[in-house]
Amino acid sequence: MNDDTLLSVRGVGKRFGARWACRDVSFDLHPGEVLAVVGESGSGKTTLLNLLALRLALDEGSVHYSPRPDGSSPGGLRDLASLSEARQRLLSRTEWGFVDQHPRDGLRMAVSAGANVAERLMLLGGEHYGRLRATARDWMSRVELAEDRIDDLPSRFSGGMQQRLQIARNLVTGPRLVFMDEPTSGLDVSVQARLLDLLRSLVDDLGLACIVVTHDLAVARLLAHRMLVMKDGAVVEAGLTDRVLDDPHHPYTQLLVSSVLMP
Amino acid sequence: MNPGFCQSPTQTLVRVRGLGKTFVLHNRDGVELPVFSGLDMEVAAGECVVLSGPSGCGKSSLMRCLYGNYAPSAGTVELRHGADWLDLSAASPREVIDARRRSVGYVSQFLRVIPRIPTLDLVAEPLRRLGLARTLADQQARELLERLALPERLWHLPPATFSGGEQQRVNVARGLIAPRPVLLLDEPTASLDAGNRQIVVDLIGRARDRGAAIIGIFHDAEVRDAVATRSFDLGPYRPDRTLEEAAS
Amino acid sequence: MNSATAASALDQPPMSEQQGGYNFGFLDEQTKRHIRRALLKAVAIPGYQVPFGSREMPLPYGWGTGGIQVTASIIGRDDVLKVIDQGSDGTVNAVNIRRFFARTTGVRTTTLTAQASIIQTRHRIPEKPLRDGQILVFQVPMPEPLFRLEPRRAQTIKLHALAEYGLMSVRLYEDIAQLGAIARTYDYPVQVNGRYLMSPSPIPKFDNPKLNMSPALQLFGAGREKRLYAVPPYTPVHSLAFEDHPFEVQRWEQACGLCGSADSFLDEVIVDDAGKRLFVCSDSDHCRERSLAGHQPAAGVQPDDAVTPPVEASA
Repeated sequence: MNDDTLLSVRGVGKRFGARWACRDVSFDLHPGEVLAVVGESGSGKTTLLNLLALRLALDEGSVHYSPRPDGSSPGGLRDLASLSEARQRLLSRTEWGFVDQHPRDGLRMAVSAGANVAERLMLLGGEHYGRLRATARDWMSRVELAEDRIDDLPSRFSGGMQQRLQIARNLVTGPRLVFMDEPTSGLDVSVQARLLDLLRSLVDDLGLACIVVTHDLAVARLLAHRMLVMKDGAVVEAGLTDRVLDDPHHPYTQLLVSSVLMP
Repeated sequence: MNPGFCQSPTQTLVRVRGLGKTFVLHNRDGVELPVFSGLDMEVAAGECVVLSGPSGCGKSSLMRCLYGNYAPSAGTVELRHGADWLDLSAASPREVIDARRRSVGYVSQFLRVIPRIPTLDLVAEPLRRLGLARTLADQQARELLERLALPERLWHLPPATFSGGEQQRVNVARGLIAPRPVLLLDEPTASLDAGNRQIVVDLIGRARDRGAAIIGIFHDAEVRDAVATRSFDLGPYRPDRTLEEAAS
Repeated sequence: MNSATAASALDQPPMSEQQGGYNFGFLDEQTKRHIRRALLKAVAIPGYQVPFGSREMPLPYGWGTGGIQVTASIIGRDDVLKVIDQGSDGTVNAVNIRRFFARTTGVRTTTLTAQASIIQTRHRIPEKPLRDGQILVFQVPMPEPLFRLEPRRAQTIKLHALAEYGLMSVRLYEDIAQLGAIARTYDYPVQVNGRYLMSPSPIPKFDNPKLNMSPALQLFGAGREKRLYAVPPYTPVHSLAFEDHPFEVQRWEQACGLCGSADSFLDEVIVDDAGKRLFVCSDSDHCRERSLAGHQPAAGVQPDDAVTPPVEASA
């Protein structure tokens, strides 16, 4: 654990009845690092993501996070379980982002794109309509959506654009850590490619730390510095992305890598 | 620019001890493919070491171990990183990434870059990662691409559609633009015609002369002769040789 | 019990509290005590919705059972009760509720705002400024201001607890984006004492400013939803808006066709089969008071024959 560790995960696990969906996962994440969690269905990767993002309660282990220093509290890692629910919710809306696999889960479909993007700011007390709108426009253009569609409902956007909208909605408060659950699945290949490019450049420009769950090794290679490979709830291999993909050690990792179809 | 690597000519920058690499193919009943073992090597500033040995003896594998792309089965790979030694085989991912940013560059035979990024950005990126301002980084990238005779009309295009020789020049530019203390070159002149080969040879020579430690694989004898200061034979470290020697 | 010196024509001899076998105020004493406890809690936490055991009342949900239970719990023998519905003392609901209390308490009733100690109201606040010692009881259909945005009660409880009201701001933003202005004209959300988001009941937004720093005690009862809440006297109540889209009340071009008032809430009334319209004060007592004081409608406006309902005596 270094001084600038952003997230420290120790032995986390989640059980559903007698079955451990994921168990004994540990790693440290630093600012600007992108970690891919790779595995097939049932590997526990999404459960892990939800545990880390406080959407599920831990059954084992701990997650420590270092909040943005604000002068009032000392810096350093805090046990997330020790934070009040109010503090956790505030954290997840200001310093974190969560991009859902299906944009419909991560957006409010009944209000306009602009309202979606500006919502977090309103939650934090934003009271100037004009400024909220300007910020929304700015972020829409940063994710390459047409600004003049600010009043359109999300259902009028294509899947790829909805995903961009979701990303903008999450980034508007300048989070340091973004969780992504299969951000490109279900999209057409060319749309995926553009979205990955966008994610990559945003991560670079904003110095975001990310935890990206994906079953697609190409996404991991493109976006991530590091990888965890999960099978049946356990991490079977971890390391530098290109090392894991080019020199896989664990049998399952070798199977995954060799199974990928090359066009 | 990074001044920290104007090394004294005798300073060791790469230190390999007892390095071994064996692949275990679990999906082929666990068959083991040993590549080399017990490999020791030291490279100092200003040296350009050419790896030699028959095809398949592990030259590329050794290079990848030196870059942290392969994990060794035994031994250590140490690089001079800033003021310290970094054991790549035991380093954390972010340490390896930092080492690749500042201390060790890699030019491979194949251009493997993020698709859809324009050539100029690809070439400028290593400098920007070192903290150089965009305008300066772009400026140096342009100069290097000009030196490599890559036509200007290609600079704003992604290299996916370029010819082999054009792609290789982008590769070389990206690998050499940031002055890092250690350079790994795996067939850097592949696909290049004589004129471009010479340009690359000059670049390598310059890097060597400013004190970089270079390890390379060069099939082309002319290139080899022009840049290498010595050669390193992987022969002695091949698995069957080792067994033979052990038997005798 | 009977005040022989009462000046108003509305004084009536008190009824026996055993009339028809009902307890004073219809509800049993335990229930009234329970509701009063809930009211105390509500007053202690302005704008916070306090659940209460809403009883079966002799009228269906949606007709004011919450307001009636609140009034029944606080009304005493010396109180004077006024009941209005959309500002009028003379509608069916107002008449029936007033009669209900007259029968079950024998308490004096009135149509004069100034004389009342308790005013039960549906969908309006009287025009006449209230004073210290008066209690305004609101009938509330849906106490949860976030209901249309978040129908799940478990979630809204959490949102109130954490003061997470961004959802309402989103709604207001969306109104401005789609319609050019905030579209709510009644039941306009307010923030009470800088803390809780509250539904002021379906009063027109015109009346929202009257909630703020009122000398009167304001109580809100929702019978079907089984919640009550309160705004104690002199509590800040602030209507939500944006800095650059501030809260505005409705304005009419017309004035009241009966008393000429230019600053009361007006109803538009069709006065004949030809569709002739007249704008009149919604608050009948206010209008009548102004007329009696000599105020005239503007020239050229024809008052209708049958307008202000007769001042009704308690049954």
